Amino acid sequence: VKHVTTVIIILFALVMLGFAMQRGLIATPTLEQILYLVQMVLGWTAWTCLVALAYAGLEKLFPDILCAPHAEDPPAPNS
Amino acid sequence: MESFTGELAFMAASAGKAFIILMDPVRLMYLGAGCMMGLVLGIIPGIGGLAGTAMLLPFTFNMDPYTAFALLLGLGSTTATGDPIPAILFGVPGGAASAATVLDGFPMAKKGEAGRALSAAYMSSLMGGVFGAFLMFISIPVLRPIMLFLGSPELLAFSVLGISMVAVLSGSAPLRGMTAGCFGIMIAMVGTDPQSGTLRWTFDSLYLWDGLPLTPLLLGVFALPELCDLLISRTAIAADTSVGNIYKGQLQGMKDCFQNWWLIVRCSWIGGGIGSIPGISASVVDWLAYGHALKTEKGANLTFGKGDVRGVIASESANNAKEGGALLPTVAFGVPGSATMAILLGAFLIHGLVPGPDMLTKNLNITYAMVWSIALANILGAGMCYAFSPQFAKLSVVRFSLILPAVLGIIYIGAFEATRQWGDLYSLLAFGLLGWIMKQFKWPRPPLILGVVLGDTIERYLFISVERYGLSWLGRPVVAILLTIAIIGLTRPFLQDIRIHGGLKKMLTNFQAPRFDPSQLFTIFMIGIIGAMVLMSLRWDFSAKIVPLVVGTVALLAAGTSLFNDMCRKPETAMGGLVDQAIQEVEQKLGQANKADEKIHMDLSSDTAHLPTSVIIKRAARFFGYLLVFMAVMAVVGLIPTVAVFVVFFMRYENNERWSLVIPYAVILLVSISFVFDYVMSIPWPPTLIGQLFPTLKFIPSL
Repeated sequence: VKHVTTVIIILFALVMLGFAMQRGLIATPTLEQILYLVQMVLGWTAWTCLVALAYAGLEKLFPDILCAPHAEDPPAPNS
Repeated sequence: MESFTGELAFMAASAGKAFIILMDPVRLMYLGAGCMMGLVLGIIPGIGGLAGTAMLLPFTFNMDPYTAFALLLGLGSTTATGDPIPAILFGVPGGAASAATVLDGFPMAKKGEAGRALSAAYMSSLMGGVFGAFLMFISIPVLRPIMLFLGSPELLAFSVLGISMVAVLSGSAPLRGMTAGCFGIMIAMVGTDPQSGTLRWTFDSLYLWDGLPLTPLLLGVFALPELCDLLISRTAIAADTSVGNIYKGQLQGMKDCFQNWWLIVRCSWIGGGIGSIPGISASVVDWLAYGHALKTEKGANLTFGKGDVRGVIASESANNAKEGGALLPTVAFGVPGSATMAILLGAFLIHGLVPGPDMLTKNLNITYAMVWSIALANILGAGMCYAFSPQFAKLSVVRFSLILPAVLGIIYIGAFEATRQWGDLYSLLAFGLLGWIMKQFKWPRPPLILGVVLGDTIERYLFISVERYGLSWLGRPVVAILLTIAIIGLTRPFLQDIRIHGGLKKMLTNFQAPRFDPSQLFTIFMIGIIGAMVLMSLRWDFSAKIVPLVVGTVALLAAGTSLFNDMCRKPETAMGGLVDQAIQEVEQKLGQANKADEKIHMDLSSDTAHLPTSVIIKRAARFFGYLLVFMAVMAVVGLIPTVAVFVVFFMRYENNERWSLVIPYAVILLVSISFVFDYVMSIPWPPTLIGQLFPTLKFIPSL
């Protein structure tokens, strides 16, 4: 059943995309647009990795501040 | 007779035209998107339909009203459809509207009938929601001829009636509600006075000349406090996530609904009817319907509370029907039926629509499109729930460290869309803090928004009425009736208090020596702020200061009395509200202990009471610290790069998430924000320091 719903979701998304393209709401992507998308993904991945590296470095430098375990809270009454 | 037939034909034509307009694939897509968001927000812990509607509002600026309301009502109508999922599966209501569903839904899930209970909840939600829309549909022909005879004085009286609803919207705290409502009216008057050109409370800031924009205010008051509480409680639903086979028994659940169709009709009437009475919707409707089913259904005394499907059907059909009911006074009179409707009233203003006669005459198409939107949203929402229950169930247990960074980024973008100035972000922060403090100290927030939304209207109609009719407008019959109802509405809580205390004399002697509580500091702060505003207004022209002075004085009186009550009134456990009575009745019938030891609070309450105050303050300070740092980093490198910094820092520091989750999550978020807001919507971003120093880098989105 789980797989069926996953397939339904994917099919639904594809049908919507196809419909939107057919109606001209989303034009078939040009090479330029695909390149823009690739650049965007690569660019943001690089930026995120840079930030992650910087933060990992800070974690090494200040483990007492940044890696200190958080105290356990008392359980909420509704849980 | 002929004119009546003509009227009906005109309305039928408008309804048909509205249906055709709404059937446009693009609008249907937005409606579907709204439904999906409504379901998701209804299920995700910590963010409800109220915050969701506020978050969505700024992104409807460029849409036509049909599309905008399809999106907003799609979201608003389906939040209650998603609510029963956590209520039935984990025993934790997704929102106030499904609190009664837990009583029978959760025991059913424990008995292995989760699929049946969910199916019954979806189907009854669908039927109730469609019934609510139908109720609005048939009310329009009745209201239309009446609305055509209303002039400015009557519209002013309706607005005053709307404001008087603060007493109802405020539940257990009418004085605080009145203070908040009056403060809201004063906020609405910030900026240039249209009559005299006087600058009111602008503090020499150019940003405030046009008044405070509604969007950052709404996002601050309703969305940020939810996020702050999410960080403070640091938790999703701590529950067993192995929910079993949700699909088993779904057919039986549907059959149950059709077998109990008469119960659905009755409870939908209760939902739609109560929903149309401003102020007493979400928290009370499900309890009243549940109580009704308990009293009228055969054998209910023996089976309700132990897993009877009729209990689920009763509460779920009523809470979906209330949306159609609540929309009716909002559209027809500009008097919002609930807090969500108060936000929707903001959407009316943003799209240049004036609630009242116009909505039933020249904008009748839009009104009917709203009716269709609610009906279709309920059908779509229930369909989606049937198809994707297991996926939605997983949303109930999403961690705060995943929800908060994504939502915060969208809130910043939404707030900046108001006037595209940094002032929007400062307003967001200031009202976020105000909203959170109000939520913590149980000050009702809906009256504040009601005041902001209706403040301008009241002042405008008052001047038109006085200019046109002098003081004779006060004698017009409709005005007199409405103002009387407004006065009764405002005084009802006090009269109720007197009744509960067994007379005025006993009430006035029920005092003790003053005692201090930290929550009183906020009341003192409000008195200080409002007092300062009143003092400043004394210097203005007569026409500019009359309304602020009157409203400010009422606010000071209400806040002062509230403070006196808090300090000197003896503690009590008395109840009197409609909700309390309904809950009490249900609990007595079920033989449960009386848990309703205090009056109901008609706003979302903080779920952080189990934590020590020092922890709450520390985490709240950290949350608002994050917001400040976010803004500072944003001013240097731009909004989208800041999201990456925030995601990495927040997920690692707050919940020690693994890197293999943090990095893909951040990248997906950045790409989605870039694509939707920069590429598709071409949102202009706030200027940044790096962008000004190195203009060649401006190809990077948001820099």
